[in-house]
Amino acid sequence: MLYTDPGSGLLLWQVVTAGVVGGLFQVRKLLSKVFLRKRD
Amino acid sequence: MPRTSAAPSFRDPAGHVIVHEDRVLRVVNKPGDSELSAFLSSGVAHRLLDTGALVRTERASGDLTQLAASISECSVYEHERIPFSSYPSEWPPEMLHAAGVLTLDIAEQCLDEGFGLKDASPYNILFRGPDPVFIDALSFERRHPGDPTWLAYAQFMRNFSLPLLAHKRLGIPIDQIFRTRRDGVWPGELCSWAGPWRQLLPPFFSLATLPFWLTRFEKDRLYRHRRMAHDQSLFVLRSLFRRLRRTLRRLEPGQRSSAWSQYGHVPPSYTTEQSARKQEFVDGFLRRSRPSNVLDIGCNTGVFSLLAAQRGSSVVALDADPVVVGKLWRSVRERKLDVLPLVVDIARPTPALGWRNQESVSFLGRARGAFDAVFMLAVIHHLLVSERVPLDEIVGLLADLTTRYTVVEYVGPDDPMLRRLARGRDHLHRDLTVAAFENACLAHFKIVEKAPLPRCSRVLYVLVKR
Repeated sequence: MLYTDPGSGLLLWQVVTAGVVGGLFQVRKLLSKVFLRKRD
Repeated sequence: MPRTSAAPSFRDPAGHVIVHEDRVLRVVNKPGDSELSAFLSSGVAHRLLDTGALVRTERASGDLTQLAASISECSVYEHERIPFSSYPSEWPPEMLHAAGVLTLDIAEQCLDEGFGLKDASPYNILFRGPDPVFIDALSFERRHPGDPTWLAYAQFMRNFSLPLLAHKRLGIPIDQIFRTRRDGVWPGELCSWAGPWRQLLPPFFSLATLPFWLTRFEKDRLYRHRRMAHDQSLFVLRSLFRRLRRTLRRLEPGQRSSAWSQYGHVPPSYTTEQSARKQEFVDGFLRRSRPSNVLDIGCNTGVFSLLAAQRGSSVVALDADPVVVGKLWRSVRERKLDVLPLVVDIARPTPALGWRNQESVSFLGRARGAFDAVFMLAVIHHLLVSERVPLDEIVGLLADLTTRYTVVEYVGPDDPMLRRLARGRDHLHRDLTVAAFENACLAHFKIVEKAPLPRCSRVLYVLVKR
């Protein structure tokens, strides 16, 4: 249960970077799928 | 009548701490108990307990009927008692940095087993000697597997990264930050300290300025839960912890120097002969009296704190200068000695702070009765001359602090350091003589040992409380 102040700007900054890093994760996953398929 | 006091730990709705007859007990409500017992049975909890990074916590046993009113429908856990509590306002930047590293280590280790830290406050950490220990067992909670955010991130930034940045780049003392703020430094505050140009430069821009600008876009939906695939959320959180760790590494306090960091090594403090005699005197006292808890007031580089720790005492070492305290902390941590160095000016010791002045106990409130030996070596002239504290008051404070011994150094009015501090006000200390000093001591103590240092007016004493 959250009881500490999650901040506003700092939380928003975390959410933005989480979105970018989460996107990178998807790209990495996609690329590894493509390469694995090619290798097969 | 059993002594019970409620430690001020009311912010977390899951429970609170009480001190009952020297036992530290945590009263936990039902939802809190389910989280805590799940965490304590996890592998990560066992690892943290084994390494001493987490305070020992177990279900309380024994007679708790005296507490019936405050524990009804709750579970009670017992924690190991950390010998001496300290607060972030008493830590040099090195210790705040170590506390931040431990918080990150724990948050990262929890991730693998589905737990997270719900807060990231420096008040979750105490120091056992020089080593940080995480004491808030209720900080652990099971995290939602798809949650890509660490909601305690902002608190971590406010309490660790931004204060360390303010100290490293702007020279703002850590004690001033934490004495006046409960929850660290806010990004907007740091921007105004940095000024219009510096706030646009790294690392201020990414750590403070950008988050501060983003506050304009605050909307209610910012606080709703976010979900991703489990492996994706873990990837995001690991990357966040890596970035925080990198930031902390960049903000690690470097070697610094101050007016007092070379004191004791250069004239006019002591000749080699005087220094050796003084060490021999203190060492002799330690060998004969074997005190278990020593308070070293005005420890400077910590020569006598180290000596006491090597002789088996548990030492709390105080100095007003964060540079020398930081240096001492590095040294005792490396040598694994039981010394807790703190930034405390004995002429203005840490006051009671927080809600009703009860959240942080004053330094003197914590220190009274906690030490069987108090050292006050080469300090008395600073209190007499610079602080203008009367001799009787100084001896009275020593009697308040020690339960048995005091090792004190008398400094006469013709001492070069005293004259330097007096700056022409020598007439104010004309009455300071060995006889006057001994008379003041005799009001509270018996003099059991006395040794004048060669070729100077300084005299060392061992006093025993009446």
